[in-house]
Amino acid sequence: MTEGLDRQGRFAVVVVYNGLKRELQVEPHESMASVTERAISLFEVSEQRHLLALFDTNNREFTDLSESAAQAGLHAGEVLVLRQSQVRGG
Amino acid sequence: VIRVAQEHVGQSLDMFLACGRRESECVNYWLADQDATDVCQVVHPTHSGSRGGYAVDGGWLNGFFLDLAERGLRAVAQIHTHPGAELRHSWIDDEFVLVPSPNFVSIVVPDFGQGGPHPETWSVQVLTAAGLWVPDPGAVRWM
Repeated sequence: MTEGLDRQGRFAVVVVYNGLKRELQVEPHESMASVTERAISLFEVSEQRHLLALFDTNNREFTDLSESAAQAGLHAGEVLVLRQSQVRGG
Repeated sequence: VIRVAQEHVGQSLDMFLACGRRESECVNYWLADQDATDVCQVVHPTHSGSRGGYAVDGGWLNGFFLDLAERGLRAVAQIHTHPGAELRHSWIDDEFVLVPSPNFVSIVVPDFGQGGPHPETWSVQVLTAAGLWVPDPGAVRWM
């Protein structure tokens, strides 16, 4: 079996949001829209959450939500940051 | 209820004056241990600023959240300045908050923070689970 994958081919990533860390099991063929939605659901977030997005540790945003997790390059043990795509005030 | 010491309030005001120079908005974040509500540190993000607003650098945000996780901390409040006496959140303040989670606190300080440490003249708002901001002066205990 490939390292980090279970019998169904799933693997775990770590999602960080405001200093909190949660593990998320990901299916390689799962869309990034689904991964993002499930990542948000790991944390207590208010209803207006459409601006939250996933980023890798190099600050690359996963913008193509139609891609699969495998196409997006997610891998076992990867750390993802869940944050607002923009933070500003006025 | 978050509790903040005068020392941390003073640090924020000092940063507002040094960074905003009485002519542009500035923002700070107040940190606490993940299981606590006492403010233990003030952070000044990398951001742009103008008389009409501010924008925090995305790369800084990424590193900030990762650093918080390393250190077992979380942001419990944001505090930012407005140019005049207006204390209400703009729609941008509402939408683009650092942490869109229930009970996150947002404090608005008027006049670019030139008025000194007088929290009674500031606005304190709290985000609800429904995504609404509601005034709640009791959400911060000034120590």
